Amino acid sequence: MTETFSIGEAMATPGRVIRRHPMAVFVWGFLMMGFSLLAVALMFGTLADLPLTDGAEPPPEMFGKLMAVQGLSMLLNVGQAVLAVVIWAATMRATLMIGRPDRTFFLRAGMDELRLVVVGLALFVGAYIAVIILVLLGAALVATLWQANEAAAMIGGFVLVLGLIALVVVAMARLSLIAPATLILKRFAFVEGWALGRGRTLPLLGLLVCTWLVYLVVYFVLAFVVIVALFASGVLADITAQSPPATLGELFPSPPVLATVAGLMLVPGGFVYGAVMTLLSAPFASACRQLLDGPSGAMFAAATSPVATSAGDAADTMV
Amino acid sequence: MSFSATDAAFEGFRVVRRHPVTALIWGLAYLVLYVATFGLGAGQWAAIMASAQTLEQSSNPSPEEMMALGQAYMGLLVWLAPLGLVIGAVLSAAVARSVLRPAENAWGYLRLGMDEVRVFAVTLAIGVIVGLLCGVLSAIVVAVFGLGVASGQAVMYLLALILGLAAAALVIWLSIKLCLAVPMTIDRRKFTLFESFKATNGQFWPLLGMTIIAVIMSLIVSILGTIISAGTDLATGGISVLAGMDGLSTLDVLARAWPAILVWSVVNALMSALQLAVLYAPFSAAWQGLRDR
Repeated sequence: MTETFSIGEAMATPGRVIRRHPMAVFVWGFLMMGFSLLAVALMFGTLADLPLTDGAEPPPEMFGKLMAVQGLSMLLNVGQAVLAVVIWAATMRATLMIGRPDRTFFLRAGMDELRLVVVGLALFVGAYIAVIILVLLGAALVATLWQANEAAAMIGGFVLVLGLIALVVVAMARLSLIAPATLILKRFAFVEGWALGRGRTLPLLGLLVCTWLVYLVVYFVLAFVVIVALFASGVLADITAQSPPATLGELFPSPPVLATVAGLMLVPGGFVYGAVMTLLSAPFASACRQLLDGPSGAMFAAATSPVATSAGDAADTMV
Repeated sequence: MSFSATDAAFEGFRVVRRHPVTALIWGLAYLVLYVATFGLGAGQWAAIMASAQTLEQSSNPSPEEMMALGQAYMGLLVWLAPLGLVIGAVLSAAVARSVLRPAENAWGYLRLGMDEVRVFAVTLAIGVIVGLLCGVLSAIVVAVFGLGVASGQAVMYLLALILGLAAAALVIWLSIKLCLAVPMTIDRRKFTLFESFKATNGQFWPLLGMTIIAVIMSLIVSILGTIISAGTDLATGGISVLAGMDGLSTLDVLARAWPAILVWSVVNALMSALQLAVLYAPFSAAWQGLRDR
């Protein structure tokens, strides 16, 4: 497996998706933004009577409301995670089907999404456990070194922290093809995704770094624009000029201002959010497609039927 | 048919899709367990809920409070554990039967015969073996950690951590090596335990992957259950209403809280049946694939 993928081609893919499917990109972001705004409105709306002044007692019904908000928050978190997976699948699906019209904006609720939820959870929980174990081992190692030589322990601790960060980044790059491979091959592709990344850790790392750099640029530009807009519109001055609020509800700006902010977040904000989500997922879907279309991908051709093969067989084939 | 880890992981969903009524019947079995639990021990449940709530609200729980909760649990476990083990064996056997002998679908694959006795024995044996191993390994790790605390040598902490990780790996390895024992017992109609070692040779990683996927899917079903329960709890108050009924007789508790108990039992019975299928059926599918290689 010596062939690789083009980082340039992979990085150009989000732009292509945004150009060819702007409406879909807007809908993805609109859904995420809409859900987040709805969640915030529900949570803060319920707690609007919460007193903020010193020594003020909350009304008796506030305890029940706090309990309700706690339950609601849990449900909203689950809902947001599910929505994020549905949109993640849609961005990758659009990347793999660029130019083809889709009436549901590539959004589905099926087995692809269920597999992606499982893959996402497995990678997240697995990485979490691995990091906890490594941190514990590192701490014990540094404590042991500390008893022998404090300076060596400090240097060792610093090196271990750097090593852990590097390891996490490399692991993220190495594991980045599992989700797109799962969507393309229509089965759990832990082994195939891992095998596709074998010998291509550096290009994948390069792709990850490029994606993050573009993301950071977009983030800072947006943050700058939002801050300038807040100052220019006088919203910040208006908020700071107000007398200290007595309740949480009084912290909110007036309804017209709120409506304007929500409108801005939903319409231009929705498109930007959708574009960012595309930027973060499309390059890896493109890289995976390139690799599967290449000679090494041909090895999976016979393995695309889930009934006819096993994860172990597929791994053996790749080796 | 060969063994596909990723394919086998979905067997639970396939079982439910093939015979949706089967999942309902398994749910009914769980409902019987829950109704028996509350029907015979609603008063004890009220005591447990009250003790748990006291502990939750206490910033510094006293040993007496902990003891009260422990005693309340023990009082219930004495008769609930054997009942749970029997129903667990019947349901495990039913899940394995639904995959390995799909034609025997009467009564939702539920039986009360020698298969169930053998599955009960195998489950108990696995529980004892894994439990003993966990106990011995934990004791070693705790002893090494204790030596570290006593001597102040940090290297002992490192050793305890490495031993702890090795112990966890060993328990996981043993559990995977024994994971085909129940389906093999149903399939061969005889007590089968250590033959699972041979059957899993060369299949450890696919079986571990399959188990992880099945556990995550079961977790997803559990999250769905939590969402449904949250809605029904809002309507009925949930079984936490029992906390306010400590000291009442079982009949009084049932008379006051039966809607909450019934709704909680129905929702949890159905969710438990789904989780059972999602979590256990993959092992039978794996054995079917490995047997037919």
